[in-house]
Amino acid sequence: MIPYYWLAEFGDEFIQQFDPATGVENLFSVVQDRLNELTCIGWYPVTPHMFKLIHIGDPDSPMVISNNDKYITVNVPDGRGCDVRIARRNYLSYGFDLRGVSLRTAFVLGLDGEEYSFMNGDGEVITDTNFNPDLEALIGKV
Amino acid sequence: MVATVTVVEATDAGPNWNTITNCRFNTSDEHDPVLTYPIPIPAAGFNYSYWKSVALNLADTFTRINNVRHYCDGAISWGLGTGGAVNRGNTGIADGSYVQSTGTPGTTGTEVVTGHSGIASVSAITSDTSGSPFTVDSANHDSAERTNHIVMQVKVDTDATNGVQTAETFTWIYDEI
Repeated sequence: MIPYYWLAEFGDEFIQQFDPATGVENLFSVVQDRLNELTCIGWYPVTPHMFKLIHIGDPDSPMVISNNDKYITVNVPDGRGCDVRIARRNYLSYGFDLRGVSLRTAFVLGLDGEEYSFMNGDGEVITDTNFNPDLEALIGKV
Repeated sequence: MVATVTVVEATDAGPNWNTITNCRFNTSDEHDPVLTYPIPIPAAGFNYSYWKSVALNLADTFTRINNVRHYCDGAISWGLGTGGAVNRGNTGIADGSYVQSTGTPGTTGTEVVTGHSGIASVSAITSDTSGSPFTVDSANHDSAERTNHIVMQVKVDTDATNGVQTAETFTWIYDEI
């Protein structure tokens, strides 16, 4: 389960990762097709209501969502849409004689050439002008 | 909703891509860690492991995965001797350029720059850290497929420490949207 979903604003209109009425997922390509109209974009916490919509028909899915209301957004000046960096940055560790894998995730948002925000599942945020900072302080070390 | 990503290792000429959760450098072309083919400490010169070809397998539904990189914590605690190291090839290798690892089972692998047509040089993997990871694949992946693979090899010197070495963890980074 992912703790945050993306929401993209196009002036008075918005598109979010999961349809608020049905829970059906929109692939990010619908945003990529309209980057020149993008005015604001962010990561927002999945609510219990949204969780239930997403997992209709999947009663065994554990209800694990972020326990915070933290979010990060970035306003997109005209013409800067193509410079948006938004991603789930995943760290997939595997062992050499250490059986098992672990997955940690940071949610990344920002405009190229400016500060980026990196948020963990608990809503803690660090900012950095480097797109590739050492994030162990935020997401932990395996 | 979210891609299912696994770590896979290639063996055989085909190759066969095997899902792994653990890896062991040895002197045999196989993926399942076994104690059967350790790397002997050489009397002179160096011995090598068979090189490892390791990638990410991308499955299920997603929009895009990119920025695929690999790192360790900057130190390898294994006693590989004065000139020993864990090395990785200078570039990520596409599926079509895969080269099966070769050598003499139970004795030494072929040195990777000599035996792998896609690898021009190697660097110590300890130079790849979370703040400065090695880029394995810079392409955009918009559908289920494998990323480029990293090629890694252990080099053992005459004054190496024998025995099973302590565990190490390597990490893949990838961005998904």
